[in-house]
Amino acid sequence: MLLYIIRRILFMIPTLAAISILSFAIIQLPPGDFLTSYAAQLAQEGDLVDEEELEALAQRYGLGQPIYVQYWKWIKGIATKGDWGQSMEWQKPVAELIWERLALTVVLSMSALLVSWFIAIPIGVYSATNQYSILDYSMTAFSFIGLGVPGFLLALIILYLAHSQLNMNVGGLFSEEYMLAPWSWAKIMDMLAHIWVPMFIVAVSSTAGNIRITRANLLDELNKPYVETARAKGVKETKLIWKYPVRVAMNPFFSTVGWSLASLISGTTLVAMVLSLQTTGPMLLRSLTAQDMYLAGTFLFMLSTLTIIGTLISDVLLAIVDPRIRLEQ
Amino acid sequence: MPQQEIAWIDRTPDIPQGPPALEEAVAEDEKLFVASYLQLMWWRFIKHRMAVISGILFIILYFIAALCEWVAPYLPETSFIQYQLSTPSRIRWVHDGRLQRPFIYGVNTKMDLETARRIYTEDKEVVYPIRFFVRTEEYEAWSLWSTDRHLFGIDALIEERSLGVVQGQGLFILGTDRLGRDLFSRIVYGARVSLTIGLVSVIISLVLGLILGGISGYYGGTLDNAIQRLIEFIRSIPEIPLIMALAAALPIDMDIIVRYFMVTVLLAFVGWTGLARVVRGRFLSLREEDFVMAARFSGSSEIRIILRHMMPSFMSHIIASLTLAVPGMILSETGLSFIGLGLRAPAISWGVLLQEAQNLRSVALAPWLLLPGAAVVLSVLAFNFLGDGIRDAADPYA
Amino acid sequence: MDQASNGHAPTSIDTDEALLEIRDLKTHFFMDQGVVHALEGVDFTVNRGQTIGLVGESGCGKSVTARSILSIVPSPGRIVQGEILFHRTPTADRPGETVDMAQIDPKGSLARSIRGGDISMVFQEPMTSLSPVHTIGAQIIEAISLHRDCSQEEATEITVEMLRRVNLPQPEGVLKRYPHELSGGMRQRVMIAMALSCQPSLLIADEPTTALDVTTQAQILALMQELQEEFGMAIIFITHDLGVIAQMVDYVVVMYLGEVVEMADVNSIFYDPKHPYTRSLLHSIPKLGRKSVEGLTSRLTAIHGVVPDPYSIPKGCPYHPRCHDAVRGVCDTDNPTLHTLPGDHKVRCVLYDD
Repeated sequence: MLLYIIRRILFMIPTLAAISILSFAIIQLPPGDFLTSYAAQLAQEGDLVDEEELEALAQRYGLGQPIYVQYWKWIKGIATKGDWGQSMEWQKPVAELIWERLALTVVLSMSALLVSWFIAIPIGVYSATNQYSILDYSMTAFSFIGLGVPGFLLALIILYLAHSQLNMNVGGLFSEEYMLAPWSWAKIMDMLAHIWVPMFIVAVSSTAGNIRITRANLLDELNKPYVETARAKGVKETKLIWKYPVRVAMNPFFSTVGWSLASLISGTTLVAMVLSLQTTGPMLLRSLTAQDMYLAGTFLFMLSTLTIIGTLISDVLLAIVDPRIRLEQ
Repeated sequence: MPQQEIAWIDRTPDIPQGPPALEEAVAEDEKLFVASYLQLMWWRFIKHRMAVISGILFIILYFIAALCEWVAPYLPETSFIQYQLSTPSRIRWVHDGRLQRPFIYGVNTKMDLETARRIYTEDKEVVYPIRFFVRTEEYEAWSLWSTDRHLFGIDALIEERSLGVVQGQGLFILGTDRLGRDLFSRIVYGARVSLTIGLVSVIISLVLGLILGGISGYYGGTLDNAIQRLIEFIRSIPEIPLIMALAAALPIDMDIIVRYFMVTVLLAFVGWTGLARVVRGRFLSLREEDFVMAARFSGSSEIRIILRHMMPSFMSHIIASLTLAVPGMILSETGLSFIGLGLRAPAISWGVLLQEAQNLRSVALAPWLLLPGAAVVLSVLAFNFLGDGIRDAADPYA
Repeated sequence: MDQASNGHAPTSIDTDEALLEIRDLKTHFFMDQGVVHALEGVDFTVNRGQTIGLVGESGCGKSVTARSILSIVPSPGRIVQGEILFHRTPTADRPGETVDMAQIDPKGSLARSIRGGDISMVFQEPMTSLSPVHTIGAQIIEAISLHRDCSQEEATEITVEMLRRVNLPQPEGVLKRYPHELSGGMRQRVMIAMALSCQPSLLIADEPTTALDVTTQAQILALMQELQEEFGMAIIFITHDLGVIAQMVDYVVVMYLGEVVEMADVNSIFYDPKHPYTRSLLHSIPKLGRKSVEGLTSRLTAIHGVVPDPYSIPKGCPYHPRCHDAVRGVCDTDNPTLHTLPGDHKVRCVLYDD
């Protein structure tokens, strides 16, 4: 088992390398080098352009040198000094800007993932075991609609309804007084009070998808001979369902945690913009439109790394729950 | 007990050979056995009621997209100066206590000086009946010929003040936007972009998916491994941030058409992996099938095996997966344009239209600005149900 | 515990005492496309300790009969008529009783205690009949703890003993294995061990050897005979393999399209088949030393045509479209009743009308 985990971690390295190359390529995408635009921006804002500082930056990022040297300098800075580059717009090192937003993104996506499982699995099991019942039909209808309504649209609608019907603002993750306050117990409690709306909005479409997956997988499993064997043994029907076919039908969930996480992070990005959450989404968009490329590239790199880690966790989980996988490896 | 076996066998009474006594009785209901694959698929498909309804809706939607100039009562840029953010026109049937053909009353605009908002009041004296095939604004149909007939509208004089800005009564069944443009017309024009962008990008990803997934599944081995790694790699990057980053690199002053194609290609580039997996899975399972083995032993070429033997048996699955992939593309485009990284005005897509509804203030003032979203949801649902129906029908022997 | 499995002698089995009586059993499947009459009046009796063979082509209702007896007919199927009288063996804590399996609630506790306790079943597919995500031990122990009043340790002990009894090497090791780690033959042994772990008075074996290779098949059959002698249970053996029938059973029930067309003791069926269907069935298997009248090795005869579409069962005798002896105006209009011929040989065919 340990060997298996180590092997999976080793497998991650080339993927991470590929992601870093892609992120770096994206940093390089806008025409011109970033120092020129940085200088232009400084000049535009009326700041004095310090030639020496520019020179130092050029040295640090290997500007003007071949692209692989630049990449090497960038990745070395990350690996050795935790230096992710400089944000032009914020005039701060990228590392100072991203962590809190990344953490909030992870909290939001993970809680949405768990919520969607907790809602979807029992409903999916009920739908499959009571196929063509009224609840099955309504849940199927719900899951179709849930899949059809994009998260950001749902966020807009809920924002509008809360405003017009309840005269409430459901946007944001914090109350105003905590927005810029340093982290404290009170701030965490405040976040817990606010996180529900975005969490459910993000969770809706994945819940809808998970209901459909649970139902379809379970319907496949219900006709398997081992279920009949258990029934012929005299096992109680509810226990039988949860112990045998549900257990097997859940495997694909564990094996796709990584991808679900990727799609949840995607979903969170747009919802965050509508609800003005302090997650990665809005800052990523801003950095992209402002061509603040080190910041944008870092976000992309980190978000992808998160899903890679998610995939690793899901592989390990799957190996734990499904003995067949253990044997194959 | 072998000895015994030989013994009883010799004593078994012989049975008559040849066809049974009442032969003709057999031949009767063989129809079911000879129904073609397509016929069986069709029978199963039409039993899926939602899929049939969605199929009809699908046809209507693409009909609208193809004939948007004719379906829309006005040009999408025509701005009715007096009717900015006008509420949807109330369609009525009863005038003076008498039932008559649908009509709207003339609407008067008044400025509320305190709130600086326009107030729209109906003038119960002026009746504008809604008619089919009215002649109003002139347009170029498919850039081929010029006409002024629209599917429906009201006979009201509109007077052009300056380029694109008009004065006069209009029929706004879904209200107007900030610049007094008819939202219904804009949604109809947006359909052309939004519905085709999904279709085109799915076709591009199908080509990618067929080639890479096919190679992967048919040849297996190292090539398969390499392609699988590539797919896993692409799938592990969150889709929206990736598309955002790539789209942000497109020059802002790009031509509308070029931008449309670039966005399409971007969506396909990120979205082909799902189809490739389906194709690969099909190839993998079919490769082991006896009929493919038989074709190989009888000396068919690889290409012939793929085209003649394998393709027909997974075509329906591919069509189902294609149909189910379109909604994802439509949603991505909408999302991308919504945040301003996809298509940009003056291009019209549902995502671009939703940009108007981006902040709470405008939605609170004019909730109908959310309606392009309804068009998105409707078409996504139609595609999902349709794809589901095709997928279920694809296995008529199941 | 003592009589758990270590070779207790069957307590004087009276083979004339009925264990299971099925009368006019009808099980229908209510599909979207129509009603499938999977069973259209099945009658037969199983005596204690007797081995009965249920024979017929695929789709004739053999498996549905088995599932009806256990009242686990899969939805949308339902027993619509008839009786399945099961005479429960008395135990220390309850007297013997007669239960109609067709009437009781299939999900109720009575049905569940009979299922796996008094009647158990071995399925066709040893590959998929065991849960892939639970150990062998866990699956057998579950069966034991459901029906016997014993602790976890005792259940484990019984399991090991049962696994030893079905000749699995290193039974303690097998306990912790998963099904995919065993071969097909080993899995079928596990299935048998599980089925017999609660000492049922009736074992239903639904094509238990079809999916196995010939050598393993012979081993499993020998094992089942051995265990039957030891435990004294009755067996309903479902198969389309007439060789297996000849080797294993005392009494044969031939089914066609949900009806019993002929039943008699094994010798009468093989030496003196009455129903045209049974005759064709016997002619469709290869036989050693069989010669035609001219003294040449005769050809195998396939039964003409296929089993009709389940939604449109032919009018009259269901076999008439494929029958060589069908009589126009009789066979295609009326379905004959079951006639009893001398020697308690029952057959459903007009040829034997008085």
